[in-house]
Amino acid sequence: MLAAVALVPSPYMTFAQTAQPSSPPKDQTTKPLPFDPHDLSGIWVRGKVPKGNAPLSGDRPPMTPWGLAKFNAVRGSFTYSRAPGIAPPIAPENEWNDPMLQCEPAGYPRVMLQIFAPLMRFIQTPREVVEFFEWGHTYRDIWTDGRKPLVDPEPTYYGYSVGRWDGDNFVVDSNGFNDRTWTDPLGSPHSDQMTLHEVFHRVDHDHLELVITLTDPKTYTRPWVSDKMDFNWAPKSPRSENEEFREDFCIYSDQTSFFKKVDPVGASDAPVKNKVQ
Amino acid sequence: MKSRLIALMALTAGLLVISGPVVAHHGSQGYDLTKRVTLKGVVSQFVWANPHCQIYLDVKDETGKVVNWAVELNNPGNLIRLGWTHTALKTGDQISLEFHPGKEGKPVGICADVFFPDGRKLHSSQGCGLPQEPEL
Repeated sequence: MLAAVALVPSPYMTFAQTAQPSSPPKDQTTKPLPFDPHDLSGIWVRGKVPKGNAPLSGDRPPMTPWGLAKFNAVRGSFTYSRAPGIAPPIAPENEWNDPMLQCEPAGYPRVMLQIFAPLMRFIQTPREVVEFFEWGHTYRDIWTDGRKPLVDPEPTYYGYSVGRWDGDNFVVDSNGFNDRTWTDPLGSPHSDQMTLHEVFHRVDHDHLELVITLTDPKTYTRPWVSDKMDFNWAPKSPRSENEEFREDFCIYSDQTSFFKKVDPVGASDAPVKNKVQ
Repeated sequence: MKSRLIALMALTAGLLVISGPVVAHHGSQGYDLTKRVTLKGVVSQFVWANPHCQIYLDVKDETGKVVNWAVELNNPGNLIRLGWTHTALKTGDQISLEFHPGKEGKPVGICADVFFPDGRKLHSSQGCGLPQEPEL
C-alpha cells in the first residue's frame, strides 16, 4: 500500500499536504505558483468528496409529472445516503436499466459526476475552449468567439456551449441536449429542454471550482444549483499509465462478455438489455 | 512527534484518496461478502478492460480436476490508481488469490488480493463490501 501511495501523482500529495493545518516540510517552499486566472489549460481531477456517483446536489428540485414519470422508470444501482430519497432503492440486478451499462454516452453533466470520470482537460484556442473527458475519450467545444447560443440546435449528448469571461469567472451556457442520458448515476432525469449555466473559477495554480445550474422546466419546478465542485490541477491523468488520458471506452462486446462470464447473478446480461426509455 | 503526526495525516489522506472512489456496483449482489477464500493456481487469462478487469485462474480441486475461476477486479483506471498496470499479470503466472466467492458455489469471485511467490502483493477494492457510494 505504501508503494501505491508513492505512485499517486502530485495533486493528491498536494491534497494530503493541505489536509493538515500547519508546518509544511522544511525543504518545501510555500510560495504559491504563478498562474493566469484566464488560463484553464491542463488536467483537472475532482478533489473533495463526494468524488462521484453523486447528484449535482442533494437539494434536487421537485419534479414535474413528466419528470416524475421518467424517474419512476429508473432501475438503478447506486444510492446516496447524504440525501435519502433522492435515489430510488437499488434495484435487483436483472432490472438495471442504466444507459451507461449499455455503453451509451455519459453525456453532460453526468460525465462530471460518474465515479471514475470526474476529471477533464482543457485546451484553449483563440476561438474556443475544448474540454476533454477521459471517459468515452470524448470532448465538448465551448465557443468563445462571441457567438450566441443557437436557437434550436441539433440535440446531442454533450450539448452546444458558448463561453465568456466575466472577470475571473469562465461562464459557460449550454443547450441542445437530447433526453437520452441520466443527469447523474442515480437516474435523475432531464429533458431536451435542459439548459446549463456553469461558472468555472481558477482559484490558484492548483485549484479550480465549478458550479453548475441546471434549468429544465419540463422536468423540474425550479433550477437545480450544484454543490461547489473543486478540482486539483494534475500533471497527468491519475488513471492512466501514460501521460495522456486513458482511452477509457466502454466496449459493448466486453460489457456483454463480462456480464455473461463473471457476474454471478444468473450470468445476467440484463443491464445491457434493459432500456429506461 | 509533530512531524510524525503530520506524516501520518498525510499518509491517511493519501490512502483515503486512493481507496475512496473505488466502489462496487456490478455483480456484488451475487457474492458472499462474509467469506474469504484463498486459492493457488496458474493465470490462464488477465483481462484488462472495462467495465472490470478479470483474472481467470486455473485451480486444481481436491480430485485433481482443474477448475477455471473468474475473479473480477476494478476497472483499469481505478486499478492504475491502486498501483496496477496492464502487464501486472500474465498467462502462466503462479499466484495465490484471495477473494470473496460467489454465493451459489460458482467458480467466481470479487475483491481480490493477488500474492506473488516473491512476496509482492496487489490489492483490488471492487466489491470489498464498501457502500455503493463514496463516503468521507
